[in-house]
Amino acid sequence: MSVVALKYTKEKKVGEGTYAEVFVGHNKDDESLIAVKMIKVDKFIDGLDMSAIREVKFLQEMHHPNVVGLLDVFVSEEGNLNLVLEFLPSDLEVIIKDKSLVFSEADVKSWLLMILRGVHHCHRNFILHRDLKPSNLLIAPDGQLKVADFGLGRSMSFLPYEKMTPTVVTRWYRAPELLLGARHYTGAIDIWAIGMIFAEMMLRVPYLAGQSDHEQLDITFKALGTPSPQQWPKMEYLPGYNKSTAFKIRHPAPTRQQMQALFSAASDKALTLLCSMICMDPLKRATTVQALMSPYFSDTPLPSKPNDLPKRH
Amino acid sequence: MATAAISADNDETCPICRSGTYLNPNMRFLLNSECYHKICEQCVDRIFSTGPAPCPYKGCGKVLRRQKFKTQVFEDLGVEKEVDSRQRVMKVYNKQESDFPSIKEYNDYLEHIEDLIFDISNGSPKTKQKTEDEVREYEKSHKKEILDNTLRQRAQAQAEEQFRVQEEERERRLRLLSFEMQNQEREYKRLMQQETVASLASGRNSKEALKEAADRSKQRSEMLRQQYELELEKTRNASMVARQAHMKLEDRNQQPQTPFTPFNGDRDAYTFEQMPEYFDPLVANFDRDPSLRAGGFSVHYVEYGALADAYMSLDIDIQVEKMEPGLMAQEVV
Repeated sequence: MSVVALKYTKEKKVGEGTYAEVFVGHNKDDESLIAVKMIKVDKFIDGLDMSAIREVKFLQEMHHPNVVGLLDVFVSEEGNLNLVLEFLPSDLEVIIKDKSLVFSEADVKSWLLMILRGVHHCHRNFILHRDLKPSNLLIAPDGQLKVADFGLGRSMSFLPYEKMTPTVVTRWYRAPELLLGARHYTGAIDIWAIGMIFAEMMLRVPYLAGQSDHEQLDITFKALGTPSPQQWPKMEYLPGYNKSTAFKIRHPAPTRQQMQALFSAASDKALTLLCSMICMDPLKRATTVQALMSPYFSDTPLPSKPNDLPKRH
Repeated sequence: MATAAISADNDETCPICRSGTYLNPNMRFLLNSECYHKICEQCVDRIFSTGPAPCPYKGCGKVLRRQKFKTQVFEDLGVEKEVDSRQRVMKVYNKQESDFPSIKEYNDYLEHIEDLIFDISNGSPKTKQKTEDEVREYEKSHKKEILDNTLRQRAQAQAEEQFRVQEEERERRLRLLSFEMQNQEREYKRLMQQETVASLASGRNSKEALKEAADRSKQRSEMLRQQYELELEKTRNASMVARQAHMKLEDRNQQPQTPFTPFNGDRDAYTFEQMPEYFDPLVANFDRDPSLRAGGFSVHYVEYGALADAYMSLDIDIQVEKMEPGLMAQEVV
């Protein structure tokens, strides 16, 4: 057994996925709580699962208060790969679903700010997350929100001949260019997902909840209007455009009043920011830098301090 | 002008119905902050009871409402106008000194308010319109802030009022107590004297009796003083509690001292500068695949990637990064 392995204890199993088990444990040095993600190597004939490799690769790169921290990596006696992560007891999905918690505008602002800061750190290091959703945004005991699960992460591709798979991101948070099968995409897909999460924090239910991939595009256009070739140039060249039936009926884009009526609690600046993050054309969509510079964040009320955010007791 | 002044002193006439104070000394004149035309109360009732109507003055024609009419407070209409516009502007521009980082900015703000008030009450119709538009625009864009300030100021005024009332009550009680003390003291002295005389008359040892009386008097005054001090302490505590509550209120409303930083120190500071155009055969083919544009790619983006690949981490000392993980590249120079 490696020296690193002896530093940590595994105490209680708290979760199990297809390729990993998660334990809660302690750091023997300072008695702090940690989480150990044990990746079952024997399950894979061709070696380690891709997502485990991606997770280690990207988490090693990044150090940011709003990105989950990878403390150590070791191989246990049975040959399983173990990732020692920060202990994060809650996630945003749990908090959004708990209807007994009341969110103020300052709370939503604080969460959105932490999400954007975390994702900005990824994009700044040329990493696409590709699976942003409330259940992947973990909450530390001190209220800090951390972007986690880089199992679908990827380095940004700037090369026109390098193709990426469009089947990424959980359906409800998937950007329209992915739904149309784009093989080349940018950080804008993560921004779309953040926009959806922002909307979900205000509505307390998922904003665009399609039952199938096919229906997702329909719902997206129904809610935000079918884009015209002027609004989204060259979209007809995307692989999925001709196969899609979503363009048969042209839905009008919602007016500002209709958006305001749906997001009744949103301030003017909040709505402007939301609209800039869920723009159909990825090239016109806000970047993390633009979103963070939005007057929404500097406007009153100031974002809540992480410690004051609503949490489950 | 002169005749108007004289008639205002002695006999005021309503220009609409021609009745004047000469015939009806109880007549009241009202005016509206829209145009400041004086109209008698009867006329206002008659003209505006059915809803908004244009001002009956010839050539005015401003639409007025019954509700907005008020009695003139100042004889000089200029003063009246200025007070009105001041009230209106101050309601919108309601920041306090504590909202500003420095006294200079606060003074600039105050000066700006004075300029606005002057323009509204004394400016030409054109500047007046422009200034009012500015005030309206400001009100619209700072709605939330104005409301917050109003609420905060109201809460502060309330807390201050509460504190003042408590303080007054405390002083009153102390005054009462000291008055009572003096009274008791006097009464006690009188009693003691009587007793001493009586005991002397009954033939006891005079020296002993006197000493006894003096002791008792001392004890008694000591007790009263203690009571007074206790009361003083109690009321002081009460006022302290009130003051603390007041301070806490102010504290909560105070904005943090550090300004908001969107990136929290995590901002791009890469050491290359991208030019608007490059010669790049790879990029020349860009338009051949339009799906690139649809997916969010642009020539600029592709070139940025190439530049980042070439220049990235040139200014980073790996050893320093290893020692302090998470240190930003721009801090390591």
